[in-house]
This record gives sequence, C-alpha cells and structure tokens, in this order.
Amino acid sequence: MRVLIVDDEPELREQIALSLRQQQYTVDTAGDGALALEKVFADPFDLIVLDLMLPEKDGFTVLRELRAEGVKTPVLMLTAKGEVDSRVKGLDLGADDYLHKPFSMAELLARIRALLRRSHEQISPVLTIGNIRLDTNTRIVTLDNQPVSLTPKEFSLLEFLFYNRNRAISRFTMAEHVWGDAFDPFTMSNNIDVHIKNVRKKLNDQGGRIIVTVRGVGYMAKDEQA
Amino acid sequence: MKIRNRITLWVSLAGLVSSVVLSLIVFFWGLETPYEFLDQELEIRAHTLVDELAREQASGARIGGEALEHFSHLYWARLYDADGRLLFASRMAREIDLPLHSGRKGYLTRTDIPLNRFYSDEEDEPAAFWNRVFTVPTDGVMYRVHVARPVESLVGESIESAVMIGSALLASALILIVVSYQVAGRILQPVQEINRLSAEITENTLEKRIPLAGNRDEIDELAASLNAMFNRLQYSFLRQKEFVANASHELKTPLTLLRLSMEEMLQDGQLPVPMQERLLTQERTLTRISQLVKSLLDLSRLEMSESLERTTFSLNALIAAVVDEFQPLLQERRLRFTSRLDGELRVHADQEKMRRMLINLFDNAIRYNQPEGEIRCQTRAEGGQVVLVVANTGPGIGVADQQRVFDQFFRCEQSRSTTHGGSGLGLTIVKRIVELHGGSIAVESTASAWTAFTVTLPCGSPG
Repeated sequence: MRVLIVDDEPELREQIALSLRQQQYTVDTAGDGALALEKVFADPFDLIVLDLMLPEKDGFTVLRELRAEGVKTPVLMLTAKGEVDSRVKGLDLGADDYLHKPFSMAELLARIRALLRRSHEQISPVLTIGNIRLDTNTRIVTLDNQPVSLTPKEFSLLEFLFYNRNRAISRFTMAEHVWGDAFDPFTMSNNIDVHIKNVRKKLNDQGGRIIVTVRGVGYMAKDEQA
Repeated sequence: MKIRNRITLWVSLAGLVSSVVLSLIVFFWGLETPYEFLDQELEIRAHTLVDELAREQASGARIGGEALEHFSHLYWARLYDADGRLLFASRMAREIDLPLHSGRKGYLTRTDIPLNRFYSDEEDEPAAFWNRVFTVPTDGVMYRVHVARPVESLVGESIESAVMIGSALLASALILIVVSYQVAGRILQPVQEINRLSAEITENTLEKRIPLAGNRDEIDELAASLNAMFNRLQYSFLRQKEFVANASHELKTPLTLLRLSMEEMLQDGQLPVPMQERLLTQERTLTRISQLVKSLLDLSRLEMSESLERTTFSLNALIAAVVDEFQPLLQERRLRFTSRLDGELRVHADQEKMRRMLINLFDNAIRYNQPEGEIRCQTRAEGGQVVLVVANTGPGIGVADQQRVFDQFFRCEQSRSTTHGGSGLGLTIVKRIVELHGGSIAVESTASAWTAFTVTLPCGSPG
C-alpha cells in the first residue's frame, strides 16, 4: 500500500511516515501542495493524507485539482477544527474522511485502514485475532463462530483496538475515539476500564490474553500471529 | 410613539391651528363687510334725500314731491328738522315703524314682514332693516335723517358660511393628516431602510453596506457613519476569525507532533518504569493542553457567531442520548441518575450546540459529585419557554463563587485543590450557547448538599 503524506511540518510528516512504515505501508512525503500534485501525477498512490494548511497550494486546491484530473485516490484530510468550515468544504470537494488535529496515531491508523478497505475490495472487512472475528461491515463479532452481543460503544472500542493490533493504546485515545470531540477525554477515560471489563467477559477473555493490559499505558489487542 | 406618527401629529396640529385662525378672521370679516357697503350706500342716500328736501323747501313746493318719493321708494326713510319734527317719510316709512336709535353706528332691526314685499325676487323670509341715523347740515340748516334698508337676515348666511368653513377645515385637516403621514413616511423611508439593512448585517453578511444617496443630508451622514462603523467591525471580526484559524493550526500542529511521538515512546515495552511513569504524566498534561486549546478555540468561535443552525427536535430524546453516553461512567462512580422529563418537549434550536451544552452540564455534574451521589435532571415547558434543571449532590459552590462559575477559567477553590481536570471553560461555553439561543442560565447551591443549574430557553416549538 502506497501512502502519500502531505504536511508542511517536517517532523509531523516524518512521525506519521515512521508509524506507517512500521505498519508495512510504503510511504512518500511532500511538504507543499505543488510537490504533492507532482508526486501524485507521477506515480499512483493508494491513499493521500493531506494537511489543509500548506504553502504554495493549500489542501483544498490540491484536492480540487486532483479530482478535476480524475484522480480517485482516497484522501484523508488533516484539519485544525475551525479552519474555514474545513469539514464541509473538504467533504464537498471529494475528501473521503477528515481528522482534527491533534489526533492520535491510533486514530489515524484506524481511519487509514478503514479508508483503504473501502476503496480496495481485496482488503477484508473482517478483522481476526485468534478465535475472534470482527466484521466491520455488518458490525458483528463472533467468538468461535458464535455471535457475541456487544453494545455499540463496546464494538467501537474493540474495532479500534483490532485496527491497531499490537499497539498499546492509552485510555485517553480510546475515550476520544469512542466518544468523539464534544466529550472531555478526562471524564470519559474513566469509562474505559468498565467497557474493557465487559468486552473481556463477553469474549471469554477475563485473563486478558487477547485484550492485554499494558501496565501504565492502557490496552492492546495482541495478535500472536502478526 | 413612532417618529412618523409624531411628525404627522405635529404637522397636522400646526396646520389645523393656522387654518382655524385664518378661518375665524375670514368669517368675522365676512360678517362685517356687507354692512360697511350698506353704510356707505345709506349715507349717500341720506345726503341725496336731504339735498332734494332742501331744494323742495327752497322752491316752496309741497314737501314729498315726486323726486323725493322716487329717491326714497326703495328705502325706509324719515327726515326730521333740527327740532325733531317729521318733515318727510318714505312710502315704506309710512307703513312700517322702526325704532330710532341715535348713534354713530348702524344697527339692525328685525321685523316679521316678508322680504319679498320689497324685493319681488326674494323669498318670503322675514326682512331685517339696517338703520343709520345721520345729521346732515345743508345751507346752514340741520336735518336729521333716519334711513334704513330692508336686508335679508344674515344669520342664515352666517350659519351657512360657518358650516362651509367648518367642513373646509375638516377636509383640510384630513388632507393634512394624510399628506403629512405620507411625507413623514417619505422622509423617514431612508431611516427605515438603514434600520432594515443594519438589522440584516450578521456575522455572515458583514460585507454588506448601506447604500448612500449621495445628497449629503443628515440621513446620508448617518448612513456613512454607520458604514464606517461596519468597516471597523468587519475588520476586527476578520482579524479575530483569522486569529482563531491561525491559532488553530499553529497550536494544533505541534500538539499533534508532541502527541504522536509520545505515543510512539509509550509503545516501547522496554522502557524503565520511572521513565514510563513520567511519560504518562506528560500524556495527561498534553491531553489537558489539547483539551484547553480545543475549548478555547470553540469558545472563540461561539463568541464570534451570532447565528444558529436551528432545527426542531425533541430535547428529551437528546438528553436521553447524552445520558446514555455517560451511563457506564455513572455506574462506575455509583451515581444515581433520576430524571423527570416532560413529554417530548420539542424545541427549535441548534442541536449540535444543545448537545454540547448538555454534555458540559452532565460532565460537570459527574465531575463535581460525591461518591454514590445523585444527579437529577428535569425538563418542563413553562409558558412558551423550556426549562432544564441539572442538579447534582456534592460539596456545592459558595455564595461568593456562584456568580463567577460562568467566568472563563474560573474554578472553585475546592475543585482547584483536587485533580478534577477540566479546562475551566465548560460552563462559559454552556452560558454562551444558552445566550446564543436567547436564554438564561442560573446556578443555585447549598453547601455540602446540592448544586443546580437552571437553563431557560425561549425556543419552545408548538406540537
């Protein structure tokens, strides 16, 4: 999977690139809009992570020119919430998803996987760890082929951990992902332990072999085969 | 009273007073004038008669000759000598008796003799006589002449003209009112236009200006001053918007970077425990800063915005949905939640902002609660308004602090000392959202018992 990261902040660009490479993505980067367009037209990518505020050409312009040229590559917009109705405008121009700064890497990876899955049918919508299968399309979880009934929040939490398998995710990050922007992650992170306890019980994982407690950090979906 | 009505009233009153004065002058002048002509006529006639009489006397002819009869036949006339002996009476004076009043002025004597007896073409209304008494010296001899002329009674005429003048006054008053109302409207129309345009200018239409007529009158000057004010407003508004957008980007990009690298470090399972603990403290702090920046920018945007994206929805359904999100947390803290919600309670409001308001209120109610405490939520419709009460048990807010809980970054002393988290902006945001909806918020608190926030919104929707 080839991903292009477009952001004018070099350290941020490299940080994202590093994490994506660890996840076996092929990553290229661009620091401004003009360079980004050059790279996209030269070589096809599977996904573009596009910052909104860029020198030379801003994210909207890049996106508009891409879509005008018929490039259908999925675009994940990075916005600082409030930048000139960025959300609506970006989606109007053909962005496939957006992420508000500051975001967590886990959230970015989950969004990238979901976007790639949507645009490439060959990536299975089913995430499997051990004897647990999680179908992101039907939102059904099975344990040894037996359906497990999870609440929407529990499903969302498990899906997030599965997308980020073998990464330790903090409670704050999980709270942000599950409850969204309007809620205070400080308050909501207190929820996480209850939810994890319930999910473990339903998945017969009280010992925490699949949903592992990472001491001091948070939780991780551990996939021995990866 | 509206200026238009005031102008109409004053112009009409002034016009009416001046026309009443004018009418009175004309009316009384009209009453006097006919008699002045009569006076002159009678005076000339008196002299003619005396001249004729003198001539008859001088010629030694019989007094009351043909000439005298001829000159006096249309008049009532009696001629006396200086001693008051009657020398001659005209035909009319022989038939009718009229009282003699000496004096310089003329006077009117009413009779019941029909007027058409003297003037065949007149109607049979009773005749009045206009009398004059003159003393005329001729050739050294003094004569006294009492001469009168039958006239139609001017009372009817006066009433008639009074009625005429009255109705003319009424008509002119009506015309004055209508015209001045129209003129006032015309004069005030630019003011109304300015008013309408100013009201139309909102955050989204700041580039609008009031068109200038260019005639440099007072209203044009007013419009120009307002436009100048709008220029300054637009400038500072754009500046603030720019600031928020820039601050958003400039603050959030490094925060993202910080956060990502911190997460990456935490992935390292080989980290020594003290290092890991320090990293976790940093993550907490970073989350707080992120939250603070987010709230601050949210508040800036709320402060700037004036318009809402209103839809009609059930407030109680929204409350239920928000409470549902908090449910596991309530269980975890063993907080009892009770609600008394009044039916559907449909409101016409900005749903996203209402949701934010409820989240902040409930977050607060949970954050500052006591273990195994209670949260109560109540909604009701009250005379076209919607009242929402969120109350929680807990340490309460001191009276001195109650007014300040909505201030930016204000936190009560008790909550500062313990680590409650929060940005100190939650209630400020709530207050701004309530104000944007034209509502009000109040806090009530009893020490170590209850704290209740009451939101009143005027956005109830019928049905």
